Amino acid sequence: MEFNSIQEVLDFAVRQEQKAGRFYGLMAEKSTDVVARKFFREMVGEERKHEAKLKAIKSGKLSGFSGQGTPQMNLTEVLGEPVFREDITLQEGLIIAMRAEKDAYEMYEGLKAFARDEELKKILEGLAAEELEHKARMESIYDQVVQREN
Amino acid sequence: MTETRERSKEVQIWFGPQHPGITGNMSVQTWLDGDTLTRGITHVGYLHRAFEKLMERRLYIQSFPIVCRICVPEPDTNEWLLASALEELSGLDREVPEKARWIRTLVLEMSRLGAMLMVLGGHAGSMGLGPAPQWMIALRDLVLDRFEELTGGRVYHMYIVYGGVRRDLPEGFAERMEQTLKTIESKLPLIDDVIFGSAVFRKRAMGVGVVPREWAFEMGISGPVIRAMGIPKDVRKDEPYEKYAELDFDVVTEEGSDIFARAMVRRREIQQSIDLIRQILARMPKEGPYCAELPNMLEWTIPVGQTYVRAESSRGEMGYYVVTDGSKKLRRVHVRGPSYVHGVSLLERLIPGTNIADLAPLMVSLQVCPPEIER
Amino acid sequence: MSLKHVLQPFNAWVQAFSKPYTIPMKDTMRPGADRYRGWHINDVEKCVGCGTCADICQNAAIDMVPVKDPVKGDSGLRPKIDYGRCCWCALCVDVCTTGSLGMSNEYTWVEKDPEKCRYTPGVDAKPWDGSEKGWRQEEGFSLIVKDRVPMPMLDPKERIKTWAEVVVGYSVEEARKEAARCVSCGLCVAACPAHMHIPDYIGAIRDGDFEKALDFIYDNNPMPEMCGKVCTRRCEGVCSVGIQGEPLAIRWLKRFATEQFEDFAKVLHPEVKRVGEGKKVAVVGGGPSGVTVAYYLAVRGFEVTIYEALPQLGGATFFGIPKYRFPMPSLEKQVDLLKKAGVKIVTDHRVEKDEFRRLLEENDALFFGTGLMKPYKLGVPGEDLEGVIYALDLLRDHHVGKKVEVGESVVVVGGGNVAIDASRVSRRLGAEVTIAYRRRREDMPADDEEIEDAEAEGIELVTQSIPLRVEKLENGKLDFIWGPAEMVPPDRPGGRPKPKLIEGVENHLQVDRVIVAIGQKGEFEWMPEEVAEKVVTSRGWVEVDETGMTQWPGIFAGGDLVNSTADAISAIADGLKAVEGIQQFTLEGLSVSKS
Repeated sequence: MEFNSIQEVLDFAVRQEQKAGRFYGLMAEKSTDVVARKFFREMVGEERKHEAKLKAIKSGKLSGFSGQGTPQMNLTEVLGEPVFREDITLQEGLIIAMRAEKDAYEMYEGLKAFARDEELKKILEGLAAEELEHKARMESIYDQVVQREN
Repeated sequence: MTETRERSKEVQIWFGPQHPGITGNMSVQTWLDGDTLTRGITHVGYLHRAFEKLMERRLYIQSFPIVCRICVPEPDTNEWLLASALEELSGLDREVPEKARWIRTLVLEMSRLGAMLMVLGGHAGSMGLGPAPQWMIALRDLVLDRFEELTGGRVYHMYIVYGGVRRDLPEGFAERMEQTLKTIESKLPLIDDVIFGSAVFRKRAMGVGVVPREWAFEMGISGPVIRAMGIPKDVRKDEPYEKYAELDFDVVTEEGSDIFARAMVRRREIQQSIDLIRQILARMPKEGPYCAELPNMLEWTIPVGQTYVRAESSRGEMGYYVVTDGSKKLRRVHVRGPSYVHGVSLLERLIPGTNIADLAPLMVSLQVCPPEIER
Repeated sequence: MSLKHVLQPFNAWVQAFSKPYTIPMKDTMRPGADRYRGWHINDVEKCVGCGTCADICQNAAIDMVPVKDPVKGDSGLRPKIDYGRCCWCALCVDVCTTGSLGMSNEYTWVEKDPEKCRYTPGVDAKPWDGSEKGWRQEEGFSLIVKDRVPMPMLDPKERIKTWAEVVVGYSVEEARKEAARCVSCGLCVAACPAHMHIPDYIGAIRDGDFEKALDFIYDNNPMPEMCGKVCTRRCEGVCSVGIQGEPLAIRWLKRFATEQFEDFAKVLHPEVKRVGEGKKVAVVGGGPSGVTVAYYLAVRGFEVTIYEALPQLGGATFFGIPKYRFPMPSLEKQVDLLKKAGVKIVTDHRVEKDEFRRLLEENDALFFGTGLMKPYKLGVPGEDLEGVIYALDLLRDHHVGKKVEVGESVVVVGGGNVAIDASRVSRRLGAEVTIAYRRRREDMPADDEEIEDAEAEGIELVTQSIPLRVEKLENGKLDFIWGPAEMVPPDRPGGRPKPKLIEGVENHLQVDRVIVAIGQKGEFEWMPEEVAEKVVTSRGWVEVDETGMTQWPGIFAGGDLVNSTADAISAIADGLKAVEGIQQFTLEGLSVSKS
């Protein structure tokens, strides 16, 4: 994949967020567990927020990303790889979300190699950092909710 | 009729409460025939702070800051008496550490020394001998310096408490105390010269204010007043407390029972106190706790009981009658101070026939301390 | 009268030529002695506003004034001293629980405005604030008792052979002696989720009036014997005596008071206000929150029925807490009082969707506190292998009397009280036990004393260990593989520090069982969808308002599902909140909405 302008990158990123949003929406519809359902619905909202943020950057309302640098716990790497089932639980849903954020991060990191100029590279770096931040946040939630006593 | 006419010749004069010659906040209403007093009535109450009643509304530990105020020049006897009464009633007396006992004895002797320096100055001052009182007060201040570093306070020490004392001796205390004692000792010959060697003092003190020997036990006289009659009565010897039994000293007595004899008893007891302080410091344990492990003082209760404890203050026998009822507060404290006997009963009995100019020296010689009368 | 006596006094003139020994002016300006009792200083950061200084001040010169917002363990008050009354006795310094209060060695202070002679040391700046000298607390003299009366316990070697209670309990003398250490500051009351009347019942124990103590205790805790044995005792964490010494054994004192009576009904005198006559309330779940709601509504005249799925009330305190900590007779005693108060109890009965709907129809209000009954999974490969079990299942099976086996060696994953309970139960079942915890020892949510007890019983603790996977070995055992972790700072200040896996290192541990105790979750399958949809959050918790009511009018909730601390005393606090909420709700003539 090759990008010619920042606009293109951002458009791509917006499409990614929309895709993720649809994915969570579908899962929310199908799950039978009330907690998982609510969690996926929350994630739909989260992805919309990300989308809005990207659009704001694109239109110049926001100047850039502002990662907080939340420390990583590398939880995602340790945990298994659950697949979607109708009776999926919050725990598995969280792991799926963590993995999705991690995948997105790795994708932007990969794309960085193809960036032609510094500016493009910078925006891709920003996107990657943003996804890493999301991953850390998901890990935090997982840590707080699931591993309350560990 | 006769009496009325007699009395109409008398002049009535109030001696105190605002008079430099009165010892503290009290007054004596006197009647004069010429310059001879015919009658006197003591009036107290100017200083009434209801100490005994206050203590019935205070926790045991809260009573310690109160009792020291019963005698300004010599608060420590009061602290010790309350502490020892409470220890006896609660059964903690066996747990008071050795070092605490030595420190307490030290403090008691220091306070006697300080009080006697002051009152000897008073003896001279009441006869208009100016410099001596100033020197005595200055010497007493040196003792207060030692009190300050030991107890944290110059006048109100609040140092002896239930179970022991509140702080250990500070570093180098013994050396500084010795220095103070040396300074005091070096000035004593001069004091002898200007007081006991003075014609004025001798003339006005000898044969004046004589307390008849037969009153001694009838009225409960104690302290320098009784010892000046030649009766060797001293609680420290008669019923030794703390470490007095282990100390080497003799009861000071003088003959004559007049103002001079009483002043001389005090003069010799100053030297006695200095000797005792040296003995105590030499035998003071280096190590060890200075206070027993105390219970929670906010909630502490003492079983039902009553006791009477006594000690030799510079003025005479101080006693505390203490009643506890099992609660967190004292049920009753009665303070038996020598000043009630000396300053009210004895003074009123001595007044008839005394020259008005001798009233102030007489009161000083009886060492009247009004807050002790109106606890 | 000799000439000598006329001349001798003139010796005084000698003094005129010598150095004066009255005190020169410069000497009076010297600083006070090292331990002089001068104007107060206070380290306001160290001070917790316990108010013992104000209590001991015999002149009432000290007022506790608010200087900041109260938090747990700090009343937000600081001593303000009126120097018109202060007598410089320094008892306030000697009694200070934190050692923050001191006195400077400053002699003098001249101030025109008398109002300024009342000030709050440490808050109102004064020239002597930094004073190093002056009266301070000193080793060897204390007006409070810092050492706790030790609690007799069974010897660790003996106790792992039996299910007998480990803690023996105080004798009357020991309890009264321990109770006498209390300074009645009340910081514990603010820290206790249920705001129990701690200084009051401790005071009653001290005075030997155990009935009165029980009355105080039962005023806002219907399971005090349970709390007296297993409470997480936040109270002791903030105890002001514990700052420089050991905190009051508040938990053991409560335990002592409840142990004095065989039948609570004979000694309790609850204030009966039968305001709820004719109102019906259903309680689903018989844990501490449900029991609290049931008991206090029942004594107020409500008609209450508890539905419990297990054979006994008590919730996690019944099926979770091992009997060597909380024996059955103690639980039964409390349930007995509940029955005597008129609560209808239906055990072995799981409420399902339709019945729930029916309960909504038949009652004026409904409370549920169904707790966290399901374990969270480890989430690592190999978790489905035979031999990987969950602590909750182990404990429940054991407590309802099923036979459980753990083999010769187990590893328990987790650091909460559940993990410790599972470890100590496994130890008593004869296994060698290792606890693997992801964070450091000081981060463990389990009670300190519990951890110490576990270690005394020979349980090994491996901290900063992250489970990677579980494999089956040829000899039939399990290989628990874990990696070491380094600690990274928490997301927000005050949060838990996070463990981060150090990649590339693998440690192996051969065990018969891997017991998972990393966390628990609620379960909502029994709840009608329309209700669950409204009351459950995306984290699996239930949200309630300040009256304990959920989004569904008339349905109240409490316990581990609702609060973030997930302990019994918080559940009781939730129950107390819901009692007031339900009373208010029903007495306003409102009734639970049916759909």
